[in-house]
Amino acid sequence: MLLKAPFIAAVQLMVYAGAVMVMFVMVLMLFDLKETKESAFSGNMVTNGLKLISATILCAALGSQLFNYRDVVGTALGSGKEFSVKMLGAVLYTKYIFAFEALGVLLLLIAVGAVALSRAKGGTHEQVEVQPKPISAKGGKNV
Amino acid sequence: MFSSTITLDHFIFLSVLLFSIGAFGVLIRKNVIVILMGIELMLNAVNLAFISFGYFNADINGQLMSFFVMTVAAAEAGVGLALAVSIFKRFKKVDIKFFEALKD
Repeated sequence: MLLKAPFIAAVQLMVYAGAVMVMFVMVLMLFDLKETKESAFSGNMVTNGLKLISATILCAALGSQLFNYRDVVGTALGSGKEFSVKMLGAVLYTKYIFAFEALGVLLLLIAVGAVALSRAKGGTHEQVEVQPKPISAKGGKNV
Repeated sequence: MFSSTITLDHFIFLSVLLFSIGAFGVLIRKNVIVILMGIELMLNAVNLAFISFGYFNADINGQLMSFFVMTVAAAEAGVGLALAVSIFKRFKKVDIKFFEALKD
């Protein structure tokens, strides 16, 4: 069931149940959305048709390529061996060390940017000098 | 499709199905929150494809890629929700059409 990836399963549970869902629910709590009840197809007919057609074309293009991977990787069953957290870490901190560092920088920038964005008084439409810029530039340089 | 064992095809089918649901949500809905949920669903579908390819090819890189995708997805949710909050503060609605006013 876990595809022999227990570490990713645990991280997925923590990140999505613990962080992302809580964030979504808290943001929904902030909003007062009682009067916004329009459904997906409340626009005019042409717009709805275009939306449906473009979405269907995208998904059909994706679905038509569904099993083409057999030409590339083959479906021979792998050994299905389990990779321990130790092995994951050994590869993560050697082969992907720069990607890992870049992720750290990205997370720092995101944290600073989200705080700066939500502290700005008029949202993104404040007319005075924009605050997020100097803060995020400084944060990027310090790392 | 109806064999008794679960093969790579089943995982890829589920992944494409989840991705399609997410893409439909992003393209059709106008609520920013629902669009962000659709993006998360697409990223998770790609994660599932990565992990199942990694499992069936006995390759460790699949799990590592899904780790990176997960981190970027969490960061993207944070920024997207901050933008939604700032749009809601100004317009009292979370409709995607207000994002075109960002350039003013």
